[in-house]
Amino acid sequence: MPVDFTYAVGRTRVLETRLLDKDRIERMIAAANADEALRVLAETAYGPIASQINADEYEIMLNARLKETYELVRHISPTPAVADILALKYDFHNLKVLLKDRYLKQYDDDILVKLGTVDIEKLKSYMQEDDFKGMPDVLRDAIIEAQAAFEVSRDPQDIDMALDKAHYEAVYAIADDMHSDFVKELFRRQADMINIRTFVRVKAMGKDSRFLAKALLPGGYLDEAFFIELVDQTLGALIERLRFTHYDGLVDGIAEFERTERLTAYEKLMDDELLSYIRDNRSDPFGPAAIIGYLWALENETRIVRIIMVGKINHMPSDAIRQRVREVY
Amino acid sequence: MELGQFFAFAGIAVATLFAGIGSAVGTSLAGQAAAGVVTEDPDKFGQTLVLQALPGTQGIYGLIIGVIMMSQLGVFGANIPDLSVQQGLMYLAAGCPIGIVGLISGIYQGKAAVASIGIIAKQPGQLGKAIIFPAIVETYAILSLIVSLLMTLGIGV
Repeated sequence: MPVDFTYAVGRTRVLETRLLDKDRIERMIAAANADEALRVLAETAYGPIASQINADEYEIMLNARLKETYELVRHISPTPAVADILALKYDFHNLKVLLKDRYLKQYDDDILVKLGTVDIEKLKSYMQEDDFKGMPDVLRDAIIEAQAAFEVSRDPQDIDMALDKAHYEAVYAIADDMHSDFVKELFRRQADMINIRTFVRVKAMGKDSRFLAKALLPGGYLDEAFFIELVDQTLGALIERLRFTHYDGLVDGIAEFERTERLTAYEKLMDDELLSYIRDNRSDPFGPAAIIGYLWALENETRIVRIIMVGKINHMPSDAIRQRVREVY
Repeated sequence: MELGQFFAFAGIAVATLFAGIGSAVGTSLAGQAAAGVVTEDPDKFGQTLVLQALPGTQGIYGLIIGVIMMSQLGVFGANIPDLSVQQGLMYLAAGCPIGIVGLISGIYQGKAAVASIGIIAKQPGQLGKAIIFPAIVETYAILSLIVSLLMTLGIGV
């Protein structure tokens, strides 16, 4: 029998109402400076921390908010899988940092994220002692694979690509266990969207299809053959092919890349499309959709706040910030 | 005890048992969702309670049919008349509508109530609308109650 999320969804419904709404985001964007933008958050869930920090310390606030939300979701859900499936990206990020450190000695504690499923200190000691026994299987297998790839090529990029592939395999495994079509579909779509971005980048770098195949994530609807076939054609051909898929909302972003060589527009569209897919499915009162959706929305919200704070600190005009800001849940 | 009496008792059991299970499951589902909402927002207790109570009616309908059957049969007087097998089976048949429809509609009304509790979580002013969705499911429990009732009264001992 599938796990019953009824209670957790009930709680999530109320928590959703405490997310930042469009008005408040707009007030932050319109604020005269970074301090004032921070003050807009005073009466929100960010309030207790926002009142104690300076504007340039916004990362502390965002991190605390993410951490408390992950803890809350783990606490109210019948299975930690709903949080793990999103937290895995932090584990894999940390693995990338630690593994590259081993070969390249470019260690920086600041870029490790403490939101993963495995405690960061434990992860460090596993890596230092080269003893992975206590580590979850998926992470251990991923490390061994990434190491093997690096030993062959000595190219640190191979570590990233091997770990990215392993990350999505791990995500699909959790999604399968959850027996939720929504969750499977969500991550398959995300893999596709990331693959489209990878394809555009790889093409711009002038790399061959062998490199492309290594960089593509598994499990999407658009398979390797789809992209390989398009390698030697223009981006216009990709746009034409995408018009008849779920991803026709993204073609403007690719067209924008053709003009400006920047993927910022594509990445905004990608975030908005995924959020809108979640929004369409969040009404299920029994499944994990509402809970994963809430976590997703909160991560989206912290991205929005970060974009605004960075913009305000660097004295960007409000319109330029507004263009980059994602939609809200 | 005669076989006819046994079947009549089975009819009482079907009516109260299955309708009761339906209500228990339905109110439990709605109760979990309501508890989730009230944990975050205790002011919503009254509104969510109304929605939780909605799937509780099937059990009451089952009880009504059961009590009417028992009083017809004189169970309370400890002097149960002899019944033919056919009469007994008629009681069993009369218990089925509220028993079966009560079971299924209770569970599904609970699910509709859970969804409506989601409305209350976000739009506390919409209690009226939120009640209507699960209340529609109630219609079918009432229809089966009417049929069970008419059948029971029609048997006549």
